[in-house]
Amino acid sequence: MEAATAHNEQHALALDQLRFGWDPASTLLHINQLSLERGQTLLLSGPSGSGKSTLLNLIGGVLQPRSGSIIVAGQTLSSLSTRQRDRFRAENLGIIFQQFNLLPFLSVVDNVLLPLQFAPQRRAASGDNPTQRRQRAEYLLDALGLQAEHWQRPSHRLSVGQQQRVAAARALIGAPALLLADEPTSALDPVNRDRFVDLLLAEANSSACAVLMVSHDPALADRFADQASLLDLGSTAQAA
Amino acid sequence: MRGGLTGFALRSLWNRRGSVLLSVLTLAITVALLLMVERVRMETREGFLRSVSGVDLIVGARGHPVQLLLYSVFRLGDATNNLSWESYQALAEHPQVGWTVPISLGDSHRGYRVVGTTAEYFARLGGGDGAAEFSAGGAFGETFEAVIGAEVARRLNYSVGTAIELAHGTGRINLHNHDDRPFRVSGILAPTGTPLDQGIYVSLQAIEAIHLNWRSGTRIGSAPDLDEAQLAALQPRSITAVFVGAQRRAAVFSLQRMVNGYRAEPLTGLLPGVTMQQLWQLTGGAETALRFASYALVGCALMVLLSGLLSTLNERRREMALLRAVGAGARHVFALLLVEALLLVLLALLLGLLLAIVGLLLATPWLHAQFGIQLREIWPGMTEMQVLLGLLLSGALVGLIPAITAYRRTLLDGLTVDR
Ligand SMILES: Nc1ncnc2c1ncn2[C@@H]1O[C@H](COP(=O)(O)OP(=O)(O)OP(=O)(O)O)[C@@H](O)[C@H]1O
Ligand SMILES: [Mg+2]
Repeated sequence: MEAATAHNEQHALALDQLRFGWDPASTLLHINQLSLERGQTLLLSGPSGSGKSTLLNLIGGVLQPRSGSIIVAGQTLSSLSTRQRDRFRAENLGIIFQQFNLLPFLSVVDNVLLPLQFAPQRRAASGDNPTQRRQRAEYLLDALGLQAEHWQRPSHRLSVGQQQRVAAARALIGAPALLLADEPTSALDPVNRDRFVDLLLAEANSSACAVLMVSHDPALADRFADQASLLDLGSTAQAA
Repeated sequence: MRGGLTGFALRSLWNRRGSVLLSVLTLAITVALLLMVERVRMETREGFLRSVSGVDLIVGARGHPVQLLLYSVFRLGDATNNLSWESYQALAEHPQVGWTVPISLGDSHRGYRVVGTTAEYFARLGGGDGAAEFSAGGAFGETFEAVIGAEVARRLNYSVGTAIELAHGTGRINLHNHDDRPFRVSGILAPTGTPLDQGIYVSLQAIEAIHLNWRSGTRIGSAPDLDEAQLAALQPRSITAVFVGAQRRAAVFSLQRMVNGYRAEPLTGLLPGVTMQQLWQLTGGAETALRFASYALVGCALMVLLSGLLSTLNERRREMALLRAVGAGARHVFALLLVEALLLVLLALLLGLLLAIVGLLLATPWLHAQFGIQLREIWPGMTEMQVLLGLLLSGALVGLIPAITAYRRTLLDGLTVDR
């Protein structure tokens, strides 16, 4: 057990014999083995309805697997209580959705700082005081290509591409172990998409954050260290 | 988000201020209405009680206590019978009786009742805790002098020295005036917000004097001219009622028993507080209906607020999923929605309280002029605080509904709201 934990600490994510189904009669997800080391990137594809978003909910600790284990940053999720899983998600995961990533009543910078409200360790990691943390948020926004003139604007006034940059900064602030992105580029044009993914991966790499991105887009494949299809994961043992 | 939850809710609400403001205003207005109804109700009762605050017992001819109370204190209706001067004297000399103030009713002046009494009336029935205050002049000294209440002076524009004629009877038309015996206003009472303000007060001797040449309601000849000494010696044969103060409070009940069992004449003795309760039970129906209506309005406004909160829940599913994604638990979502509802209710209550105070300030002169209700206290007291606390609790219960709905929904939605 000690050894296993020590071994898993290398991993940002490790799935083992994972089974999940919405109703007891059928199995939607079947993943024998999947692991991601810190700083590693994986592009996950799969047809619509194959359970990609469901998998993100499982990794986020919002859904419980029928069987098998999910280990995030060395921690087995099933050994945590609901409360602890919420806290754990706040500390260790950054999540980007397809769209509607921002709270309309918060400024751009406050949207970036939002996860820190729930994650004391990430808060400490992103700065000693509010000013420092704000500067960290602004640094990330800048690194992800959102100019300073947009930082104080109401978040719903931003274009979709700009909103996704804010979402990426929010997912990365405080250096979580794993970034989950559920088709974050599907609303972007190819030029924007490529620039966005490049900046996102570069920034994730610099904070040793593993990236699991779900996308249908084959054009993104060569930017990731690994690719996998959800349909293949059930039959062959796939590891990075 | 523990500490920041309220701030978070505030910013979310501010973002939707256009739609929530209307329901908050609706609730605030109904709360104000409720508070005003409650305040006027309490002040009215208070004012009634105040008008007899020092009196232990009211004695009149045998009859229903509520009726006796109505004509003796509120000057509503007429006495069917008088009590004899002998009975009054026996009562006044009773060892357990501390003081007595007799009154003799039956005359009026331009709609205001004339009260024949003794000067002690002003010391005992001052409409407050102590003696009545004069805003001008003083008590009647000579026989044909009258003291008038604040409202009489204001409405009829009388001042000290004005000559007035009393009319026989209490109706408004076709009255015979005692025009052979004009009175001079000797004093004007300060306003009290009690029936005291609506009376014209003269001595018992004056009442006797103007009726010397009257037999069974009609005037015969002209009044004999008497000098002051003769006038002062006039003694009424009967009076309408007596206000009694007991030697000791504990003696009140035995005094009442004595009066009710009086042999020589059938009498009724009432305890003002108790009979006032009976009166309120009679008028309670209308009062309850009014209170019920104002509570129902507040209930409706809460429903408006609730439907507003529920209708936004669907648009806010993404917001909730987002909060879950950054680490909020379902309990945070629950708390957020509950805090939002509580903030709205709290705002509505404060606004309602403010509206009620302003409304009462504005309504005070009108209430006084129209109904003689004087609002002594406009600032919220214990009762208002209890009402507001109850409303806050109801608001919390109402807020539980969207909170529970959002809680259950967020458990199903998790991090994804694609559907
Ligand atoms: N809360 C739920 N309750 C029951 N069934 C669900 C629920 N959420 C998703 N499903 C079902 O699970 C299956 C997988 O859904 P999921 O959203 O994970 O697919 P996906 O791979 O993300 O698809 P897409 O590429 O279209 O986003 C679908 O058939 C869907 O109907
Ligand atoms: Mg999906």
